[in-house]
Amino acid sequence: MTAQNDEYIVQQIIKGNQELFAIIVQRYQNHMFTMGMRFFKNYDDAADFTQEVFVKVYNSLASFKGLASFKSWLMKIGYNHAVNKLNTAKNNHPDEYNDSIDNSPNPETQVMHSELHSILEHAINSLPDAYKVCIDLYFFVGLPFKEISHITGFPVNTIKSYVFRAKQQLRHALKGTIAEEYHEM
Amino acid sequence: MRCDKAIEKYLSLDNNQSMPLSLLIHIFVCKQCNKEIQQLHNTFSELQKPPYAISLESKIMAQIMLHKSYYQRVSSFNWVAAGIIIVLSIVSLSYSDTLQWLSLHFGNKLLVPLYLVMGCIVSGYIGSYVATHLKKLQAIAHNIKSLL
Repeated sequence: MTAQNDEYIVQQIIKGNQELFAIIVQRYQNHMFTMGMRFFKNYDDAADFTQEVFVKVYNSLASFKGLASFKSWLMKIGYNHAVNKLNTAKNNHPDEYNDSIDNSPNPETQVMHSELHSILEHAINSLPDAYKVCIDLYFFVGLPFKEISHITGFPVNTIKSYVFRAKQQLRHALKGTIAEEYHEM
Repeated sequence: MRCDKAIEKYLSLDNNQSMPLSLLIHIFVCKQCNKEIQQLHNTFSELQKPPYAISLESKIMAQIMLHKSYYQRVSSFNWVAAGIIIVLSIVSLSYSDTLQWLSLHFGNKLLVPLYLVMGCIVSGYIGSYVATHLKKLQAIAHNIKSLL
């Protein structure tokens, strides 16, 4: 059942197989949580955000027309929710949402689990905040430039240039690292 | 094509975009670029996994299960409205000119198929209601049983 494509699963959920939504959650919870971490920069807010988005997605499933891929549609809901939530939070508690990262250790999830991710994170940190999520959507979600542009509203060429820059930084950073040795094996 | 241009071209490719022919020819003849592009390809593929691993499935599904299934999402108002419309249609049919005109032409032979159609509509309506509210009806039946 897990091999079924997203669109088929959505059809089945709309027909009444509510429990199949677990497959959608399994597939995309890490992607959504990564987006949450990008926006809210702490575990609890990112986890709350992830839960809220999936409930929102469930309630909106009937409006999914299949014009874009389900993954892209889901990420757009996540992105819009994050932007709205962040704006509301900033208006209500302007001091709380600065750019500091919550470094409290959480063994369950504080897992920048590979050297590659650390290198990419380093490359991402040199980008303006607004564009960091574009890199996440490109690398971690695997969306094409056009769909990222549709989700975020940023011009395709700008996204292209930031992704290109991140790839170049990755390329330079990888030279002589464990990752390079690993791929040479 | 020069090697730096070839790498640049590779880096500017979109997700799932196939390599242009000129680049394919270059990496076919240039072993060094071939090796580097292979390494980069492996690296980018590895990055497709999100950096965070979390398991919120049970929490999310607990919230989802509190919502009504999509299949049952016809509001009570719509059910009642549909029932009233069906009853009114059946009642008003007896007084309509069309039925009188049809009776004049076809006589009593028309009544049997007409009642059959009405019966099908009413059965369909009740059947749909029962099928979509099975759990609710079971709970009501259980409550009545416990009261008795």
